[in-house]
Amino acid sequence: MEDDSIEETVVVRYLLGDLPEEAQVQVEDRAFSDPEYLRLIEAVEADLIDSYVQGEMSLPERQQFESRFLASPQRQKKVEFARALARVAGESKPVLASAQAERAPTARYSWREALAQILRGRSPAFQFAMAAIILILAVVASWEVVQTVRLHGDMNQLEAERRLQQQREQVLQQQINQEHARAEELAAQMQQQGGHPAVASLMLLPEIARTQGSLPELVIPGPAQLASIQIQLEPRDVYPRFRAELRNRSGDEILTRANLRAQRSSTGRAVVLEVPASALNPGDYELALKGVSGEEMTDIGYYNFSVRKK
Amino acid sequence: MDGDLKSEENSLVPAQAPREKRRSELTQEAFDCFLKSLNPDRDIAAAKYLEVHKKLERFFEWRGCPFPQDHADEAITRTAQRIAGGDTITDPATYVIGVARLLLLEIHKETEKQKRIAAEQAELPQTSASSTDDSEIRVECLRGCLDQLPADNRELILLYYEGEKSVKINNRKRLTERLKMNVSALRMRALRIRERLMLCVETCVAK
Repeated sequence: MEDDSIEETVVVRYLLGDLPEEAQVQVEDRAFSDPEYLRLIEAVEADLIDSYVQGEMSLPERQQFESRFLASPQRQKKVEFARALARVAGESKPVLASAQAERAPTARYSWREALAQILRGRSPAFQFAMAAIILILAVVASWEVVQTVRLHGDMNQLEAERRLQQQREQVLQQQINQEHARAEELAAQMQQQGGHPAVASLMLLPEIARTQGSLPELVIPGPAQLASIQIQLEPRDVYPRFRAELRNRSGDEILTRANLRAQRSSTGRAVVLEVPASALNPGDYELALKGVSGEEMTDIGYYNFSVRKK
Repeated sequence: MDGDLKSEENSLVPAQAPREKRRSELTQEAFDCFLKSLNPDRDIAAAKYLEVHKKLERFFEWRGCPFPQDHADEAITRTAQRIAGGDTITDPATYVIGVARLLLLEIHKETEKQKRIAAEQAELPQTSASSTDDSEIRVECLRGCLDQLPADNRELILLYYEGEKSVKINNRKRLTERLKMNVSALRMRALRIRERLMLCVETCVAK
């Protein structure tokens, strides 16, 4: 239940254009692969439109909504439809609402009557003072409630973002472990066959390379001629071509490859950079990957790793 | 209807540049290549094409773009042109989303530019003169469409959307008890009826 509420908070923020680009992409990717999540977004969208037409939004939310939702004729129609629905539903005499209305006046009468009883028979000055105190208390209480709700919403959001990040890191870590295991298995097979792998390989994952304590390591066995560096792409990294620039720790350019293309990999899509082993000395390196579309070039990421020879 | 839609668009997004400026030409050959890349079977490819187009429309709509359908067409056209030009794209359904994201940047840039020009010329959005009439027509259409619904669905949708916050909460709680379904299932059922109603209303308004 709490997870649902967190998810909905994220979707509301997404629909109001209040999420960072990366989180927006995550929401979209999930929506396009998970029909249930897509329906959730559509349901939240309908609720948001209803809140707007019924004036239940705060001013900033209203402004965000208007800039986002009134931009296209299609969405404008949804808003108009919601207005019509609210009006027609308000005109109807639903059974349940009537039943509730029958009880409501009793409740209202009770507290009003109680207040009247307190004030009855007192002087006008006393009545005025009491009314002022009640008004101040009501304002303070409302303010407290608003603050608490806001705080709760912020905490939910932070928690949601923290969980998303954790999940992502776990998945990436699993992928690294799998790749390491695969590489070790291959190396062991080669050793059993009395040889060494001719190609040394390393997989670099988005962000993880920078957030981990130790650098990913490319181990180049003595006889290896070639090092294959696979840079995992995120779904949003869609470019017709890629450019990779490899530099050593001093910033000297070791190698540049333009016109690289994305390839399918075991974990999605990747760009593979092949480097002659002779060009790599032991030490730390930085690899810059850029997306190239026409004449435009976009930075995708900077990946650090170290090279060890054995 | 075309006339209505045009005036509505102009009133809502006056700052938008003419769409033709951004639109690329989709040749039959490029379109065929795109379909083939989705699936060799043309019927399956056509179904996939519609699915991809709907996703793109949703994407542009969520991102607050002025003409989601046209933008979806443009993203597909650009992808189709690449395929027709000999690019090997293994997963066009995913690739086209990436193209849409690039297109989004262009749209935002252009919208900002147009907004600046409009602000300089003090051309503020004008409400369509026919908006009040439209809303009356829409309400009448909605009443007609509600009458066409089965009684249980009509009652459900009216109760679900009736009243303000606290009334709504109580109504929905009672509906879940009466229909013996959880809040989430009730919400989805109401959404389905709402979508059917909206389609009916828009068809009626267009007439």
